[in-house]
Amino acid sequence: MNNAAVSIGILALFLVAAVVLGIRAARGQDKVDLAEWSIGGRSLGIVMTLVLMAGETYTSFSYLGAAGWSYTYGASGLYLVAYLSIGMAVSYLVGPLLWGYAHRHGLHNITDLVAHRFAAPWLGAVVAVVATVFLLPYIQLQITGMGTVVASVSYGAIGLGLSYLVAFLISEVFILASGLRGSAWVSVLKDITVVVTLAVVFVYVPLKFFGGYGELMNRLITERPAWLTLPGPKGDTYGMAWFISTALLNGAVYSVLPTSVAGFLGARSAQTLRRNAMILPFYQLLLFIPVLLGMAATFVVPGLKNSNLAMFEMIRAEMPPWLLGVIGAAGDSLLSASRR
Amino acid sequence: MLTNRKSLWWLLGPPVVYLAALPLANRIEPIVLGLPFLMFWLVVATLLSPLFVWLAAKGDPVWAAARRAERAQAGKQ
Repeated sequence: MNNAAVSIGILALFLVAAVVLGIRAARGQDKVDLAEWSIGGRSLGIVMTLVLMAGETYTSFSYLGAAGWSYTYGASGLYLVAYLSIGMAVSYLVGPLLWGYAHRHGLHNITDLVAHRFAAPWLGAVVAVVATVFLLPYIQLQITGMGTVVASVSYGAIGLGLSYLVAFLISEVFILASGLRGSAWVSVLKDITVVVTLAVVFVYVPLKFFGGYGELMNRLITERPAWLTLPGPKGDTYGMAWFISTALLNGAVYSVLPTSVAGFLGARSAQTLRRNAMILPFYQLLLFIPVLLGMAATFVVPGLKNSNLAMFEMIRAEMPPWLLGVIGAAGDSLLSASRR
Repeated sequence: MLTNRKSLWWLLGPPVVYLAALPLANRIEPIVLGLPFLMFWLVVATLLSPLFVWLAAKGDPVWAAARRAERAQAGKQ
């Protein structure tokens, strides 16, 4: 069997497992109504809320984009870690407020909340339109990421156009069929896959290409110093002022993003959200790995046109196909879990 | 919603360690645990963030009340 068949087979297996898991999770309910679909019947405990919020937060961007970013622009990609930690702190206060209000009045999403709180249906409609319009590029980004993974994992056997189509169909079927509870369960699958694959790659890449973690860091410090501080190798754009303002803005609004609100409202209690705000920041430690690997890729695969593939290109030539399939599955399940 | 919740000032901890400290941390030397200083500092900030939220919760009467309600609930069952 050739490499592409093995890796695509593994990827397909994971995606089918994800869809089945999502649909089964949704079917276990007594009644399937909109509240169940959109916010899981307000029943998710701390563990499921944690993995769900992690699923909402860690998308293809964290996995591929962070590596691609640091490949091109260096350490400024860590603004992601900063804004998420700030956002979690804000969510300690804002999450329970939104949850409490929605719970008292039986509301399901940010649109309902706004319309009800300000007694202005038109304002709710404006929020719905704005949220939809501005989520579209985000969704397009996710589909692009997912398609890129499929094309890359197939060693180019499946073209990009077809990959986008496959990615789109899988996620639409998944979203409509499973709802929030399905997302939460797929997030469990995703979290396990992501943590394991990141750990494997994190150990493997320095050893294989640099002779160890210390050697990798030494080479970065001596040969890529511009990558290790702000503003990075490309000049002033991503300097300190950019880092601070971007992290503050994103951190401040993280709690009212429609995807975050959906996660909040699915929680069993306001206290669950306060615990979530306390625990979830630890998950951010994982994001340092793709950032480091992106920098390592500047040695292994220099001059890439599509920097988002930095991590994949680096490991594709050296890793067994089945492992590439699993890594692709981790990337793709991130998307289907987060894309709601 | 904010009366008597002074401990919530701790929630400003993450922006302070990540952002206000950035001009001091934006450097390669000294290298700590093999990491260039900026990266090391951001790891430290990431480990401190949950601590700040914990400190906020520790002094927060709303958190304490919810804890008591949870215990009462657990006791009843």
